[in-house]
Amino acid sequence: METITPVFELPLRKTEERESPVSLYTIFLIFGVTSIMTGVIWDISWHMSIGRDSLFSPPHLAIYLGGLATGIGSIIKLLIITFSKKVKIRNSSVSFWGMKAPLGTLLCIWGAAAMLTSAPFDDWWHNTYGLDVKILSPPHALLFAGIISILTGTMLTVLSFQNQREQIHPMNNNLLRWSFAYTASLFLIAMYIFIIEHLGRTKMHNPLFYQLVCSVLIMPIAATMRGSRLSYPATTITGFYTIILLIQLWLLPLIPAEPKLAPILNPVKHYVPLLFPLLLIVPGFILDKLYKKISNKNIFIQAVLCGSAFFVSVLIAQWFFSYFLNSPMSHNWVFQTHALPYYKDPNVQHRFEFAKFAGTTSQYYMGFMIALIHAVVFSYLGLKWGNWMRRVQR
Amino acid sequence: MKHSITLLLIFISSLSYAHIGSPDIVYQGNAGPYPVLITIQPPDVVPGIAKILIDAGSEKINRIKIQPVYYQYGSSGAPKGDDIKKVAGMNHLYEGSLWLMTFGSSSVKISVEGKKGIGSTIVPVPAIATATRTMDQTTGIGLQIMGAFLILSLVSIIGAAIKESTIPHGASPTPKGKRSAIIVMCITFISIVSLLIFANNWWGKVESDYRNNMFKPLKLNAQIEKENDKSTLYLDIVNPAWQERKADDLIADHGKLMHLFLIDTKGQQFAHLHPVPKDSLHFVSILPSLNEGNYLVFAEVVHSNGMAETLTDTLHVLENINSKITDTDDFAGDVPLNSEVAIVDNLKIKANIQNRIIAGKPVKISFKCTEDGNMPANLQPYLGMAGHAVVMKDDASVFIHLHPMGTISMASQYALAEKVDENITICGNLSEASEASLDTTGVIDKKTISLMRSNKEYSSEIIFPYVFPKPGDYYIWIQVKHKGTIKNGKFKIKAV
Repeated sequence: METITPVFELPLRKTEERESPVSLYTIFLIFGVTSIMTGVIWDISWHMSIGRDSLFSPPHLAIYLGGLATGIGSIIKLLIITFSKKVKIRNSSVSFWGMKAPLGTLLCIWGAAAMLTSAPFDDWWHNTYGLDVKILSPPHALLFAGIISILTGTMLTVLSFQNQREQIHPMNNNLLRWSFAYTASLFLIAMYIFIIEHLGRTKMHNPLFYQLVCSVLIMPIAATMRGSRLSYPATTITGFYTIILLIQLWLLPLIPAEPKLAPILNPVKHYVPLLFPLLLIVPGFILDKLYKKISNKNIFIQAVLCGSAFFVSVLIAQWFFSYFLNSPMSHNWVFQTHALPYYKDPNVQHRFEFAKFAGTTSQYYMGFMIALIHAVVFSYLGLKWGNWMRRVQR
Repeated sequence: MKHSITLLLIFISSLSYAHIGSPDIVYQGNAGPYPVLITIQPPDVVPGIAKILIDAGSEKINRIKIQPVYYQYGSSGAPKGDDIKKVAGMNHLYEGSLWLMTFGSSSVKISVEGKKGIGSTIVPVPAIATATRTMDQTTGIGLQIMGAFLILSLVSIIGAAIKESTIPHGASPTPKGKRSAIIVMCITFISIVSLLIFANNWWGKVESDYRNNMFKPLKLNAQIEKENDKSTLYLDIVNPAWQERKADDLIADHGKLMHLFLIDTKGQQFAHLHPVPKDSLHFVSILPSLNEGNYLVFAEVVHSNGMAETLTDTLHVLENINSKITDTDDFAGDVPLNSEVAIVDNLKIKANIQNRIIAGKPVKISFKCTEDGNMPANLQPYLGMAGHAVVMKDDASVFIHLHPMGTISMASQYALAEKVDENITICGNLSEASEASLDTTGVIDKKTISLMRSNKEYSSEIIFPYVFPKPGDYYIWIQVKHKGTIKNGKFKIKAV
């Protein structure tokens, strides 16, 4: 297990002890990423229920407001530190093209710049290939990269404070710890949304589903589990993920909305929510329990054990849960599997049947083996990243 | 033998659908008791937005609503109508946007509400992709600069992360940290370049999918065969795969399955014929009098879902043909260019064309027909219309067949009107008989079908609303029926 280098002069002065561990700038960033992710979820639901949008639709405003808040806040932070005469402040930063700023601040600025660049690119894209009908497009990928960068920057900003104070004042850091778990869960949700088009309940017996979960989602879970200082970090982060997605699942259908685009195949009267969350809390809890036992082992062994445990627990949990999700028992307000965008025909055949695998039987089983390999490789990368995050101080 | 202009036709036909080079839709008719002039700019990519301008004339109007209606889904699959806004400072002009999200035969239902109650009409708006765009230089350079900044800054940030982010405050980076940073920066740069290659391939796939979905008009093969003394024109329709479009589902427009126009490249000869089907994909027409020469062929058809198309080809007529007309609705022969007035037998057709026609703006081209010393001519309905006009740009990049109601096909309007579950006003055929046999079924209120012309227009003047798509010289042929024969005039119009 890595040792953490204390960076404050010991002991902390009395005034510093009483200082709130969460700075105004951090609160600003957390507000920004909350606004961005609220906007992202709202926007997807908007596209499924109302359809017609513009650059200034409320979800877009939430996304860009969050981006601008974090971007402008971070530029101010960069300027203050760069031009600060206090050596102590300048020394708490990294160098960038002759300027000084914490790493998280730089990532937030980069993310805001990427989001800003994606706007004219997206506009050109719509004029050339038509308006949005897919989540995934090159300009949206750039927007997504910007959002991920801002989320990472916010996580690192919280972490740099957390890591500095952790060994000095472990009793006074709960707010930082929970702040990190919250931002980490937003990061996980962002990654989940990136691949959500392939995570429908009818695809849960398809190897691609497990390959995606065991690569795109295991990495942030493993990394933030290591970055967090909570007792059950992976459980907490996946718990936040579950709660946030359940809130949108239960709240959005209460808000009236009507489609404004033709053709309307399903005349919805309220917002259509995103899918019922994946049962990531199951592998999250298992990873927490497992990691406590293997934390002193070699990282390769950790990755093999964590990856395998994640794969097996996701497979068992999601495989059997999907039978329930595809059954009439889940067509209720708790699971919302009957919810359908306005542009989908509710009478379509096979709506609640598992999608058939296109390849051969051997390819099918090989697909699951590939998912297992993904789980090991990406949990290694996640653990590596997490170990680095544990040491971030600037 | 095909003429060299085939290449031009292939080019223009790949960019066009019902109206070659003239995408704007103009409709002059009624919405219940309210006369309206509607101009629509359809989207050239799908999903896309159509722009709508409605001139409600002098009637007192409270509000106008628009609603997109697809043939496939009807009004039950349409969203609620949207109120559209008045154009600032113009009491009678309203403008709005119509969102068309999927390919296919679509339309806009327009409901006008005023003192006389609510009246509705429908205008076909095809939802098809016809445009290929490249990035303009300013956007391209701007995005390249931002792209370079994002790549270089990300590499630097990753370098700073490795070099400095984990060392205690105030400490300097170690040589090992610096070395690691350089290695990681190189790896990051290579990864970004790999990602960009992937993104470029992804973009290429989107571009290729888009091009596959672009509208592909039906192809036409026109050939003449001489049998005995008759020259027969054979027209074969070839259906290139596009969406799920059929070619054997044509419906009659003004009573004819196909309206064929032949225009010789010297601009002298003009023919408006109505080939008859041999089967659903093969048509024939006995050619009447035509001089030897090269001809542009334009064939107008309407699908059962209301989608209208103009098929194009070229034709070489080897020798002069002189046969009798077999269909009294056909015309073929010389139509000389006139400056202002065309005199055909005792019929005088006077063009009243405004001095300055601006491309992109709606205009009304009017023709006054008189006989026997400026008395209003007693015109007869020609294919259910007060008159027909054909507009072609001098380089053949624009071709359109107009009626007094505008650019739309009546058959299209009728097909789409049947998908609306309430009374709407559409254009009916102008029949010889006063009690028109309109054969409307169910949803269309026969009483509120607006005829092509009022008594005023019938007696003296035929007005064609149109939007010239681009500046240049255009030819316009006007066709009317007078004393049982089709009479034509040809005029030149300049748009700026």
